[in-house]
Amino acid sequence: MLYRALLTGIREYFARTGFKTAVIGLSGGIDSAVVAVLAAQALGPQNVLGVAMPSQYSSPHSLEDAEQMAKILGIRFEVRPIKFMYSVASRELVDGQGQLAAIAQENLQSRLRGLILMTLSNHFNSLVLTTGNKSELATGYCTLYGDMCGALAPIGDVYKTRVYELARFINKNLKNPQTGISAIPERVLTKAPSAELRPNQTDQDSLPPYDQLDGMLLEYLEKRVPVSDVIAKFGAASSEIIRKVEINEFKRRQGAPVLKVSPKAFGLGRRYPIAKTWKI
Amino acid sequence: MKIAVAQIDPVVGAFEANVKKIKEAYQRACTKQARLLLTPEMAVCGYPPHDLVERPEIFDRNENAIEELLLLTKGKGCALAVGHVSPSPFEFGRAAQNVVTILENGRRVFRQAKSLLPTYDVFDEARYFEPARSIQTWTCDGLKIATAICEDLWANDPNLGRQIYEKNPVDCFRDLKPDMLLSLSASPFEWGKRERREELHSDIARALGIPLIYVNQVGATDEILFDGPLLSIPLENLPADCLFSKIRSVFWKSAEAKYSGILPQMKAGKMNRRLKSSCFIAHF
Repeated sequence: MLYRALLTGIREYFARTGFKTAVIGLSGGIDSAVVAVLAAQALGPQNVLGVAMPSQYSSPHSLEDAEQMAKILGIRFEVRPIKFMYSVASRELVDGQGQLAAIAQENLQSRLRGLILMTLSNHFNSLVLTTGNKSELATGYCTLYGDMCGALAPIGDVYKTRVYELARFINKNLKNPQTGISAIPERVLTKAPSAELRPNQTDQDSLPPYDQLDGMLLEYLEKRVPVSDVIAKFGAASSEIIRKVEINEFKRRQGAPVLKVSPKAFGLGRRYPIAKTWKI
Repeated sequence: MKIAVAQIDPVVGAFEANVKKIKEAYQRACTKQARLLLTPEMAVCGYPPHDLVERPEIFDRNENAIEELLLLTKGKGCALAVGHVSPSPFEFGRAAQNVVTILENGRRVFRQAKSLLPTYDVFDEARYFEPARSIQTWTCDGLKIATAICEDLWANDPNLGRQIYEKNPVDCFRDLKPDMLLSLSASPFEWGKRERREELHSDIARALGIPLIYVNQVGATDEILFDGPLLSIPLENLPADCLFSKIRSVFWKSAEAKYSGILPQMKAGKMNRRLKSSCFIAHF
């Protein structure tokens, strides 16, 4: 049901805004894999362009997996490395003296990718589909004008743990009976999630394990239980997560519309102030 | 009585295209000799129109659409219960109402505004609409028919957490003793809602002791998704012969995955056209 709901949302959004084609950043990770499958099925594989944009921190398997996915789905595929743009921009912005701050370095990579995707979307008269999930959007583990760029966030109301479920559902249902090849390469489901914005980075450097994180978010966002109860249930780490949810409202306010599939999605149905002082 | 239900996908602001969809369904309903055709909530202008309701043009466009539908019903045996936006008849309050009008043989024979205006989560109806000040019934072939619009039947939704409405229109329906209850809806999808919807509406039909026919739109607009469904809740002890007693949920029906060569090739999902433009018939 969730899969078909998201297909409907993508299809109608394109039909009603008069667009036929989509551009997606294909990182080789699970989020972009799921969005690519949804887009290929909703719009037709010939109408989807997957763009891999490797940097010096991208692992070789990321590019391999992205390319493999594009082949399996039959979508169009381009590789646009950001290495050169990154080295020019990061040098120019400090006049060749010293280095950009670490956070600026990380976000610059993401923003160069956003720039490439938005430019290609203009060039091909397409819409960019953002690939962020609900767990990321909630905690602000995403870059404004970077991976948040785009016209629609198809899985922005789907927690990371549900994205895995969705990927397993897809692989069960979209499998070539002759070859046994599924839509999403197995390695995409098993490797540790990583933004690959610095060497050996994983999501869990900054976030609790996703099953715990999603549990906290479900309680805080959807069930709206008091913070003290969330902390009692999930430990002190949850207060930092809730703080992140609240300080990142400014990002979500500027983000792409999120297809609502839960009782409480980001967007129209959740209106929190940005410039607030609110004790957690 | 034969009742047809148009489960269509109205597009927000697309008056002409929406009227065309309603017309198609109406023609089918006439072919099937239905006595009444039901559309989803706000089928004429699409839901939710948000601040388009504040555009002065909206009422003219709506009026033109209703005129066109009135012409359609002239000389036909099938009445049309259509959901649309309407200027408020009151001197004070919001400028618009969310209404159902019944068109029969070129005349407007019944008008009922929505009583409960959801104003939470993605809903913002109190921002635009004036609620109904009374609830009436329409008599058709000797049967007393009550009409509800979406939220009117959701006052007891357990997810609201508390009783958020002072009055429940269902109590009004009980006093009016109708023979049948209709609900025109535009009720967004979320996981777990289907079961809740079915239970809520079954409870109402059972409590009132009358059949309930419910139609929700399909499709999606911006971030909101609609999965239908149609509900027809006849009671066992009534001589109800219902052709769609089961829920029909019609999200895009994804086409079978097609495989060619070594790698699977997917074909774009096609919406089930038969369901999209069709109307369904229930006998009572």
